[in-house]
Amino acid sequence: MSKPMARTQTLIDERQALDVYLEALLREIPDVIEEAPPAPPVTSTQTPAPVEAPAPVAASGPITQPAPDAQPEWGRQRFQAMLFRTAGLTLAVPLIELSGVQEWGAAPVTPLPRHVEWFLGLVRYRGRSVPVVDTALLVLPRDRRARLTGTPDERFSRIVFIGEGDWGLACDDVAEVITLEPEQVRWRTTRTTRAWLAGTVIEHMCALIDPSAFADLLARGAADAGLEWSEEEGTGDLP
Amino acid sequence: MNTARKDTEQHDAGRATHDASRFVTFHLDAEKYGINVMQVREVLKITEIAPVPGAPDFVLGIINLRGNVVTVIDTRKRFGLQPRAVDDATRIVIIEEGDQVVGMMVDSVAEVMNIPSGEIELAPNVGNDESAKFIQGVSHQGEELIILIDYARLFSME
Repeated sequence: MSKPMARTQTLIDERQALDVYLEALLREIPDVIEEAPPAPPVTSTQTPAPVEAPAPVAASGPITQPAPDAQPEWGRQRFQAMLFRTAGLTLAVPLIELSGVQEWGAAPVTPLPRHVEWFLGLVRYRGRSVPVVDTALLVLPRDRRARLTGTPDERFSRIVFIGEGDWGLACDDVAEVITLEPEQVRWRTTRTTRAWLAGTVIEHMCALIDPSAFADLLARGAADAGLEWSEEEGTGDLP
Repeated sequence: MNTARKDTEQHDAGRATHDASRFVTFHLDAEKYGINVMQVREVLKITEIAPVPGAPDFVLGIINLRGNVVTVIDTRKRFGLQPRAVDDATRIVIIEEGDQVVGMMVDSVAEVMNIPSGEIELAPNVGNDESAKFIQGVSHQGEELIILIDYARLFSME
């Protein structure tokens, strides 16, 4: 009797699986944030908003390792973000921390030998050699990464440069720029794991990146810094 | 005192502009690599290589170079690249590292380039991958990125 169910789960189609994946991503945000009123104007960066921000942090105990702010500075007022897609997943990057976008192939991406597989190589950008990474390999759960096929030239169409142009994120394509109010984002309260994920935007079914945290993790090496999804996190909620 | 300091500054400035190294460049796939010319003894056309049983997999074997035995390594394998058939462009770059002489088999040898030290960027430390530490730096020359090899680390890699 359990056999047909097992078959249904393994044969789930790609688009459906992505929805479930993003759902899983959304579910991990504590519901308490949903009920919280819009963040009042914050004048000090040291003391978070008195209503909601400190509570979850205090409840989770002392944080021994420095974690990024739950709600980054740029997310405390209306902000613009650019949407881009990688392996079917939509990501949003705040414009204020976006250096630029370059067409894949506008300048050659030179691979360096014996590097980790998510490091695609160096590209010339604004007079510097900038490391370019395979965003999908970094953010997708392990089982989904195995399904990525094709050469970089086949897979990517753009490189999104974050921060001061220190890192390039290779992506399938770039979509529109959206304007977001802080309350439209389900901010993550603690970011001891996957610190790159600032929150999610349900309206656009996308994950909002914290570029500073992303760059920091990349500089430290993704595997060491816990940038990658672990098996439990990435696949636990998937069928 | 001021004149002396000025002289020193001028001397330093002069040295900075002339502080360039020459690199022998070679190709592996579409990428161009450079190795300091001071360490390159000569470049050979492909010759018969005698395999050495029990040697690491990246060691192709040995050649007889005017009475001296020289170990030849498969640079593609060392760099984690796919194998490629030997052809007329294949060369063996003979490197002298201390008292060790090693041959590196490469797809082809390109040219000798002058690269000012100011045009050499540090290679990014991505992924904390120790095996990639043999990259000394990178340099953009025209449209090309030259990957500069630290030969000492290349040979000392486990």
